[in-house]
Amino acid sequence: MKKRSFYFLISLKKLAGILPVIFLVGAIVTLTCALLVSKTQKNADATIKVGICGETDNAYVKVGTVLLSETNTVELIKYEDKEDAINALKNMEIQGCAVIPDGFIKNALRGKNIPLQYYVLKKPASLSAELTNEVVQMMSPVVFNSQNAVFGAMDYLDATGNSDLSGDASEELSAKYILTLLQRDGFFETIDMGISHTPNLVSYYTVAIILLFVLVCGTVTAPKMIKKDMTLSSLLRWRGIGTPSQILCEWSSYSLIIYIFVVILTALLGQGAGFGISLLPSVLLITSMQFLLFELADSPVSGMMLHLFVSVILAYISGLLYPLYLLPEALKNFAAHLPVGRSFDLACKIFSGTDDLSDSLCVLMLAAVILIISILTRRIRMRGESI
Amino acid sequence: MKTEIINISKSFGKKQILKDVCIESESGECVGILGTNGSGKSTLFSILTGILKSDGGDFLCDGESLFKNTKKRSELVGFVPQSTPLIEELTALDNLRLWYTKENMNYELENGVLGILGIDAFLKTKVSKMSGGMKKRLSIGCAVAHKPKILLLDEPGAALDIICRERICSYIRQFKKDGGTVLIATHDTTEFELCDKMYIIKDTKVSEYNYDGNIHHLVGRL
Repeated sequence: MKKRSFYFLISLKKLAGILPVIFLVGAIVTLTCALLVSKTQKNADATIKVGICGETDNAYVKVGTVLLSETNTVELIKYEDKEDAINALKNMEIQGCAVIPDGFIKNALRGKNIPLQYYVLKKPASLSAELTNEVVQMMSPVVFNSQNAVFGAMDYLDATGNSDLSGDASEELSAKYILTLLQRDGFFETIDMGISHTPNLVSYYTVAIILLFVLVCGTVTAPKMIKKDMTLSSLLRWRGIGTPSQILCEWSSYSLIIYIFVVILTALLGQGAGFGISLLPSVLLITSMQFLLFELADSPVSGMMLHLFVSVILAYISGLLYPLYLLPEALKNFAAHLPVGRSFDLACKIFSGTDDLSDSLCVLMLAAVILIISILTRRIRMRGESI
Repeated sequence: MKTEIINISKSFGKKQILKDVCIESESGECVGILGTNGSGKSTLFSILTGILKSDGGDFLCDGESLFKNTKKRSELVGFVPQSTPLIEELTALDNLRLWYTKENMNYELENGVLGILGIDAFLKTKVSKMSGGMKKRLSIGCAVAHKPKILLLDEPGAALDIICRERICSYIRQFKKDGGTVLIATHDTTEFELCDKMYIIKDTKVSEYNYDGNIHHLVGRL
């Protein structure tokens, strides 16, 4: 036991040489994450700029524009000329442009339908353009359908000999429905159920980056971790430190260093050290996979290439590089059974607080299976290599 | 203490490496094992230490099988392989700590094998910064930590300078004097002088050889 404990300490000491590399990788990851978060925040805070031109002086349109301007998401910019508005759209100063044709309100009050024109840039990936589309599409039919109700009321007043009231009544009714329709806080209510399996996009990528950090560490430390020959391992085995003990001591010393860095990294990324601490099963699963790759390689160069190749492929199909929902269903199902996929899934569940003990136990069992394969691999290598 | 290697055979797949190898030695003797590269010297040593399993045969010490009694084998046998099984990132002191207790190490540094091998001069040097000779001496120091009675040395003097080789030879002489048995695989004529007996491994078989000091005769036999 004493020998094994000492071998664990020796393995830790041996890994002191990889600390500067891991520190550098961690620094790069932290900076990248900070940049990503600040950029996403900027986009989230940005308002959708919508140009408006045409018959904007009408009272109804004025009420609508004032209400829209008071929202946090839409900024209405008035243009005197349609051409100016279109040019601004082409120059991407605005994301969309609504043109209210002359006589729009007057005809609407008389039951005639002159459609609003809205101009958008053809950018399918532009969320803001789509949103502008939706806003204008929503406004147009709602305005017209609501006007039909007002016409009905006017007809009733005329039919009952109250035509003198119809002007005021029409204005009052129209103002009321515009206020009701366009007041966003009356429109809908968001009920937060407090459960979510997946974090939001920023948090998703923060978790992904933490696991990517672990994968990158495996690649850059591969030259130090790979055994070029089995002489020392054979001698250790011969002298009482068997293959399972060797693997466990070496793997746990490597995992300990990576884990400490993960905890520090999660704290630096603003997710709290507590979250980092709870990532232990995920980290252990990935490090066990890395250890198996170390055992399979017999030279530093081939080991590094193997690590890089495997890490990139697994990172991609497990959703660390692109959101998982973008990948085909078959690939998602396959990735869910791989070490990186399982680690990421558990990390996301831990983040959103939906994990339970069985998830962590499954992950740890998978790590144990991979370690057993590593032990067998080393034994086969020792048998194959005569000293 | 009589050491016997009886009818050891080993093949890797269809390729026979050793066939019915028999070697005998007494305590205080040094047995030289000669052979061309790839003749099976290292394989024989790997079998004797238990790192590889033989296809047949036995390894006896005073009539007791060391293949069956692995605990006794670990106590009796020390092995210095051709390559230097050291942790490159650590110092000589840390490598020794893997095999010695603190008290034993201090004693050996002052009065014992580590002192004879001159390891005290580079205790705090990292293995990656050591010369070949220093590494070899350190390997020997690590191999004899448990005070074996049978020492297997696989080309200990290979690629070493003359001073280093002499240090190692001094140690082997001391080991013999203390009643130990040495089996040494060598190509080095200076190490031949240490050997009380010599065997040649050729074409999977072993035969005893009396070295008459004429290297050409030896080459003719190999």
